[in-house]
Amino acid sequence: MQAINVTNLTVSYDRNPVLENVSFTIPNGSITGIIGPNGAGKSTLIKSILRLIPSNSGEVEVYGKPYGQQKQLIGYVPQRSEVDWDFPTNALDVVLMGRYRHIGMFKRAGKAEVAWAKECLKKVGMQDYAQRQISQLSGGQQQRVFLARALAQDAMVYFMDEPFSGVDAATERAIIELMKKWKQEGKTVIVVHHDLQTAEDYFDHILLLNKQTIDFGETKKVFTLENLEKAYGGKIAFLQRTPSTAKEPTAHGSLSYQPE
Amino acid sequence: MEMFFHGFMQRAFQASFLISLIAPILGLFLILRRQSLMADTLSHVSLAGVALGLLIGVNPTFTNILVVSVIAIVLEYLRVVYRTYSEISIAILMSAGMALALVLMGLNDGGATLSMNQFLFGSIVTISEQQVWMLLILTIIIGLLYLIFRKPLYILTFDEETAFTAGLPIKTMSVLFNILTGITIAVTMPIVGALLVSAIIVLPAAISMRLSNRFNGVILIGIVLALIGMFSGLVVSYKIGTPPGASITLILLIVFVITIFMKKILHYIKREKLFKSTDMSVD
Repeated sequence: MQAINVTNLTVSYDRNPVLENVSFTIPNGSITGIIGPNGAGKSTLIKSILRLIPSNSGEVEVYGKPYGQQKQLIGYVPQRSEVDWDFPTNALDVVLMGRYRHIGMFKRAGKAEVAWAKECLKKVGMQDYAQRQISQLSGGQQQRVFLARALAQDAMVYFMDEPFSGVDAATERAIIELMKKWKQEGKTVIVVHHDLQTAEDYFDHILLLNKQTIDFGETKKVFTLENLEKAYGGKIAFLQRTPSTAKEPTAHGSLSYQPE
Repeated sequence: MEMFFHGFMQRAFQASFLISLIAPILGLFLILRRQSLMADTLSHVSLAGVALGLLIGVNPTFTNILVVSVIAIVLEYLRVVYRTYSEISIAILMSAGMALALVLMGLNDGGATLSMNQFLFGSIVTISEQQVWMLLILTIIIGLLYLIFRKPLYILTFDEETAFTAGLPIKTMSVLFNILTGITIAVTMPIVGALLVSAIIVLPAAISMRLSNRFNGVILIGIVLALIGMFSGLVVSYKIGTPPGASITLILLIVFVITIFMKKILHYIKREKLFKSTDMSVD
């Protein structure tokens, strides 16, 4: 079963192409990382799939049907920086926002919904912060509130934009555990990610992107030096894994991207 | 006390009471949507609406509502077109509104100038019963819409992208919100004046945002602050003959300064207490 099928997606800003004829098919129950250099169009790709940005051409299918008919199956976790954290609201209310589709637009959240939202906060270790104003949370805690909101959405396909950026180790673990849990439940997770060092550990599929699809498939197949050089234009350096981070020897050591 | 026996003062207090109920609701959403200058733009545009009414001899409030509603829709369009520079739409429409108002006034003969002054600076003497009724209807509409759309608008304001992916009709709601703001300005400006109407909408919410971090808390405190500002402004305006809009704005600004000052003092006292208690625990 295919969760997401993107065919020939092209997006441009003011006639400058940002994505050209991007096509790929993401299998159900997988965790896919979208990897590529700065300006490769990673965030643009998921935003255009979600129709937050208009595309020039291309088709997006979710479980074999056009995106428009399957919107209710989609959950989205935007970059933390895209939201106003000074907004007068608390963590619990943010999580309840994720339940809107289930509660209905004009109904108030009942006791069951509030209990469910609290349960979601508990799953990400934030139960003690339910009434905390969101500006008083640390970056990692804010990201976990976003995760709890995504949990509350109860979607089938999750799109996450740079969830690991600027978070502490505990939050990083919480995100990984959640992604694995979703995978076990047969859900599909698509993550925009920029850290090459961790990509191999986090994702079972990788979409290597630089305005066009460089390669897509299982991580072992796609995450090769040759492919990465194609995507990053030769700005790839070899790094030896330090003993603390090495879990098992890999064919090509560890890679890092050095932006100019 | 004698001021309450005047019919115009009674109407002014009634109108102020109603404005105090709606201003903080609109103001808070305007601030959170980064559109606090939109009220200013629409008030400039509404001058053109008034000038048009005076020129063609129709009740200026009606032409005003029409013009402001159209521009409110254009504003939403420009906000999307200039996504990263959303203030451009404000700059363009503010100058366009003012220019159009001046041209339309120029086409009119001298008689309209006096009325125009009234719309620029506001007047409590001229508040008609019809205006109070319009405000009452508007307050009921905004109150009802707020009760119905509170949650979706709240979600939309916090995170527009996620609201969109969750299937909320974000464009319709944005346009509806802009139109409501426009109509409020059109109905309110004869009382408080085009130049200061945005201050009266935005200031109570801006102050109360510093006093509460709960959404409903901000709105409730905002209403109390607006009532204090509007009523005392009217009294001052009546007693010493100052323009009502300016008096209300200045009082709200004084409240703003006092709030900041009080918060600083409270913060200082809290810190001192904390130091003292840690000193004692060290001893």
